[in-house]
Amino acid sequence: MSKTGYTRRSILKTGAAALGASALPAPMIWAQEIKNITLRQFGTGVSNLNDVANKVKEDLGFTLEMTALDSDAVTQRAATQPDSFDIADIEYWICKKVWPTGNLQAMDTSKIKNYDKIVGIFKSGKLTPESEIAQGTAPSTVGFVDGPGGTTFAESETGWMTLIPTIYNADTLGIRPDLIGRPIESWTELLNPEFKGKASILDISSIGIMDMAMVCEAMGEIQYGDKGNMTREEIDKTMAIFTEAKKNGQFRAFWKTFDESVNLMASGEVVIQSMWSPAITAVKSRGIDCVYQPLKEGYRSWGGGLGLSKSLSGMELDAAYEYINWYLSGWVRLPDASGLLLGRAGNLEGLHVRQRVGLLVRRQARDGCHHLAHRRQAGRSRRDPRRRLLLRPNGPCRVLERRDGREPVHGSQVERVHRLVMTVVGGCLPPTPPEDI
Amino acid sequence: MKVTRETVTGWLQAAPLTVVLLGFLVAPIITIVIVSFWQATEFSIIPAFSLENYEFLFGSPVTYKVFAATFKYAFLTWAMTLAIGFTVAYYLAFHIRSQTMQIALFLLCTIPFWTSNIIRMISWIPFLGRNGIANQTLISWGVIDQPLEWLLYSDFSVILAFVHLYTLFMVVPIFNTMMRIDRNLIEAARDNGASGFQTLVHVIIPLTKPGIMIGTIFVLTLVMGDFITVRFMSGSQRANVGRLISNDIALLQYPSAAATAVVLLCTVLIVIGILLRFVNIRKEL
Repeated sequence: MSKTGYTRRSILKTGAAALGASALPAPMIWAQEIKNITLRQFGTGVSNLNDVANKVKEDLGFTLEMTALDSDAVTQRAATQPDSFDIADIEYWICKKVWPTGNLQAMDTSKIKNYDKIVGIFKSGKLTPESEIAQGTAPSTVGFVDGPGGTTFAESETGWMTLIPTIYNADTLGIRPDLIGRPIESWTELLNPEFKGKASILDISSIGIMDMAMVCEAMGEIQYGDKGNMTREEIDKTMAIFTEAKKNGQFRAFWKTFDESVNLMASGEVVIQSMWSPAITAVKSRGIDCVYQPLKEGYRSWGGGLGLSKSLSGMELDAAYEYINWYLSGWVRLPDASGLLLGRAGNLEGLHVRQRVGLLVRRQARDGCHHLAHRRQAGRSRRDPRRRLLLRPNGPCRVLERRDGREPVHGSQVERVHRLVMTVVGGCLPPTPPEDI
Repeated sequence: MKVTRETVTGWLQAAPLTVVLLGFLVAPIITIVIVSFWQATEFSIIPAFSLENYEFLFGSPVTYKVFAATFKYAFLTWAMTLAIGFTVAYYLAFHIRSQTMQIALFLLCTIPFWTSNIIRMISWIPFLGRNGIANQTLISWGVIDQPLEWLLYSDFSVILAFVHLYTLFMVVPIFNTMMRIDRNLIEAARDNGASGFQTLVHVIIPLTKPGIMIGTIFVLTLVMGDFITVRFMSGSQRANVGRLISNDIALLQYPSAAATAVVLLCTVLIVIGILLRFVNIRKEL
């Protein structure tokens, strides 16, 4: 390698500079060696898509193996099998649980090319300097450690990042407007006896209890100090309220996986439940009316990112950094678990807007139209304002008819995200008037 | 010298099975028992000797409720699989005369088992649902006005799925023992003036006991160790011991899961021990 006059660092720089370009004029020797590298990534089904692995092979030359698991299995694997993966695609609440095991290593932010473009939520904890940090496991509180080997979280930016953020969004309740037949405006409706035997919440305890807390607070039953760090008394009271509701037959079922939530809603077993936004899209794609209902008390938000295994070193580690830089540089545009997309200008995700073309506009209006309109494509379809693009969770864009034919609401990205997302992961958002979204 | 060689041969013949059992049965169980005394935090397991897992387990009313539910599922499933399994086996063994037909019908029973357990279980869900085929049919017949809510996500659906999944485990051993009953005994019973029912009660059932017992052990252990059927068919609304364990594992509480597993193992062993008091399987086989 020294013969060619390249150090690993300079190669990395060259490689990084060439990223995103269709041709990768990397030095031959690097290209030769990197071909033999295989990085094993695992995470939730949200972002572990084979398309990404294929593109990595094409752009960067090395192999990325993807494994998709459910949240609990992801947590277990990160905590107990450190040698079984190189890259962990996990959520921030999982990071809080597994980081102290020492199975992951912190990333040197000076090697992350787009570090300065990562939104404030993941660094200072604030989207804009005026933002308030809301309750919960805010990513900024588990986002940094003191050094490469640190196992306790630092309070501010240290240059050593635990996860490189890739996705975040705000979740709310999904409803079947055709079966409910009246406006739903508050989290309290989940326990409304009107929906006895027709409600559901998700059975992933770390997330489900946040939805429960949103309901209890909206009912005025409990005032939480910090929903992300409840006292024992708060937990007991929350559980008592929901246990009683369960005994009274409020719930039809609980769900743990994406498809369960889709089936419950599509079959009409349930008319109101905790839901993830691609699940709404999946129900709608069956021609069934389903709304991701904005509620006056706000949203429950979440987020995730990529972390590196402790066992990565040398060339593999360099490749992993290269992958992360590639990830943040633009090609990846995954429909995430929430309907936001990743990458390309990355405006609603880990990165700020870099270009106007390709701006992703999230729509979540009162009429229940929930989709992403890719503005560039929206522009193409402007000839027919009634047509909008809707992305299926894993599929190509699909053109759907909008009932009212309105144009999507544009506005500054910061403004939109500010309204949508205040903190991430098991956190709770301040009130957002539905009509503003 | 000759004796020694025979002894060695004997030991060698027993060795493979012993090694397999030690490695894959005894060692894991010992590990589970050891871990059940450890402590765990959210992210780590602390090797210590502590009774806190057991204290928590026996101190919680939830444990007793869940064990009661597990026994309820096991008993009801056992009773129904036995009734159905015995009837099917009896019909196959005593009413079908030609052996070809017997084999054909027996294979027919096993056909559903060529598909996955999970698939057979999950296919009940759309069938029993609020707007499922069962409810729609009953409504169209005018039997009911409102859909029956208890058809799905209830104890009913859980037990239905168990019976559906495990009846074959009753049919096979019972059929097997029935086929080995000497037909002369039945003839003798008839010659002595026994009615069909008397023959059944006094001749066939006692001679089928080992088969019934083997089927019972299959069904009980399968039902008591299950967690996925209960989760899917009750929509996570009901719990059995298996679900306690799987919840613990999901929350990385391995020692607590191990303690629950140990208690479950002891419970099942006690139940089987009691059953074996009634029938000496080895002798009857």
